Amino acid sequence: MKHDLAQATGQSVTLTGVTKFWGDTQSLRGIDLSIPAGKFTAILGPSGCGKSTTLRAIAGLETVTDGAVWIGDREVTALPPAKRNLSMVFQNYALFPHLSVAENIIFGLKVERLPSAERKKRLGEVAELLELTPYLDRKPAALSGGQQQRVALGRAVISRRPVCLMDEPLSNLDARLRDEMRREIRRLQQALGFTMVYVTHDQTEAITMADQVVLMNEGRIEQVAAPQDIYRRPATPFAARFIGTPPMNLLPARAFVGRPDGIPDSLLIGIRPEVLSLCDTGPLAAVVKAVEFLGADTLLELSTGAHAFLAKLPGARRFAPGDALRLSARPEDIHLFDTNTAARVEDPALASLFAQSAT
Amino acid sequence: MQRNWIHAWLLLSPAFVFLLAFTHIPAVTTLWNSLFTTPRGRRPSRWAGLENYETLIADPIFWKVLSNNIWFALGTIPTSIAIALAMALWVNEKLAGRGFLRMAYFTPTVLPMIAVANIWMFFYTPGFGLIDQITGRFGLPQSNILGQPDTALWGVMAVTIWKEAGFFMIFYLAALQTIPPSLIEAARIEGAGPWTIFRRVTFPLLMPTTLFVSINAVVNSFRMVDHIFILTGGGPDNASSLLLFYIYEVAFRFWDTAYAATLTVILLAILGLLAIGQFFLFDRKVHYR
Repeated sequence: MKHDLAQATGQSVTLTGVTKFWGDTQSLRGIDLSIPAGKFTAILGPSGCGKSTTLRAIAGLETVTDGAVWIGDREVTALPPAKRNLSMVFQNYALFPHLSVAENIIFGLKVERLPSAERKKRLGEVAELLELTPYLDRKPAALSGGQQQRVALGRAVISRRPVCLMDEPLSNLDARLRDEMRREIRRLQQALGFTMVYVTHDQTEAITMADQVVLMNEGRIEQVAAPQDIYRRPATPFAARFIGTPPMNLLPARAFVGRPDGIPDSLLIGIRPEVLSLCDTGPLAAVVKAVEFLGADTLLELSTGAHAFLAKLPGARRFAPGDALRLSARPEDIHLFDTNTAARVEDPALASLFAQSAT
Repeated sequence: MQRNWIHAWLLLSPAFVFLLAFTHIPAVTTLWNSLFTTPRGRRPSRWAGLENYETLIADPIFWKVLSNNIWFALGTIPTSIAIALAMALWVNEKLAGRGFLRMAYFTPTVLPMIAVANIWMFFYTPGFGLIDQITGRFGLPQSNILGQPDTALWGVMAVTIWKEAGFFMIFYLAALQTIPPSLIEAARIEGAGPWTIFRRVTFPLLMPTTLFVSINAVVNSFRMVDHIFILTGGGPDNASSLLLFYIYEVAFRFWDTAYAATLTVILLAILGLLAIGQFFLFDRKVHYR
């Protein structure tokens, strides 16, 4: 793609020891985060985990109780939003209802007092890029949700700021439009090269769009990793359960047949439902509780003793509730977690014990 | 289906009967009366045509009260709206004692105008009124704001502004609270300062309220005369008399009901024109959500 909107570089964003109190409740418990320049970083987490507060702290819309926020090599902790040189897309788009699409997009340029010829030129480019040219004279209320979303994107990119923040921008769109906008936002970010900080509760969005995923829970960062890594090597039991659908099974050692002795109860064995396969000598002996046929696959709800877990098996075979099955997984697909430290345990020898057939 | 209109009329009738009885019929009767002479004693009223209107044009007091009323409107409307807006913006902020402040600003509205006028009488009283007590501390001479022809109207205007601003503030406050905070945040991110946010976002979004409030203010500036009875009685030398106050005097002191009807017709015409004018003037600039 060729146009003038691309900027030399984005800027990195760094948070050090950021905490935030609302009265007595603490919503951020010491956030240390470094967001690389020009990359797409998704902040992912369940509602109330502090991801929006983190974003608003970067934007300057929320003051932090403690800690520091850096954008590039500038500390901005005490600066108002206007001085932080960033743009933002809000969940409800926050378009000015009394202004036309064109006026909405160039709002920031007018505030900056950019000459009108330059404003016009940039507006033309942005409208072209986002296919908004036919709608420039309309009011936001006369646009569809997807078009409003694109106006909000236009307002964010036209000022060519090095950092762009997005707060769940797709949650008000229907599923089909969401897929389309997901690709469009990704394309825009890669074409223009700004640093993107994207808040979402939807793991699909985070995994498909981001270069780096920041997983948050209860005001803390659980894991920072590339999407592939967070799926392959989740750092905590929370990360293991949160990423991947259906979620990873976390089972204690005593759920396994022929388990090795001397395993502490604090150890959890994590196996994704999709890596389990039928095996007559498998270490998991289970009874089918419910069957969900998905076409290509079949999702089984299983139980072994008191422990329930899921398995996703290729769909050819038919199952019925009450069937007794043996399942196993490959050693490299076994994850170990210590519940005392809520951390991953790297011990391939131990992991392979839970993969081997019980003989 | 054909009986729908019967139901429609039945449902409309309670309100319609009262509107007819107290608004439309009196208005038409007033217009009719203005075309006759005033009945006096055994002399019944007779058809006068436009005689009353000729009297009106030749009546210097009418022109005096009309110009008073225009100055009164120009002096009170923009000021009270501006103060109302400023107060609303102020008490919409997160600040300690916000509820108390809102109540304090609204209090003048719930007081009866007669009570308000009496309070202000005490402020204005020459010699020992509040104003003179304060200015006296600085060695300034006594004032007689309500007793001087060139200041009496200003004294009356101050009371009106004090009374009206709190009332209009409530409308602005309600409108401010319907503006999503994310709009203001978006403007802040885009680099706008408080003044730019007010000028380009808040104020345009408040335009429907401004229209509503300004029409109310115009109507009130011709309608609110209660305080004049207490403060000045229209004097001195009609310096603080307003159109409606003059109508009252003509009708119920001088008992010239036909001439009062004529004055009323003029008042109604002025109000009607102003309201229509405001709608057309503002309508293009107002964004309704």
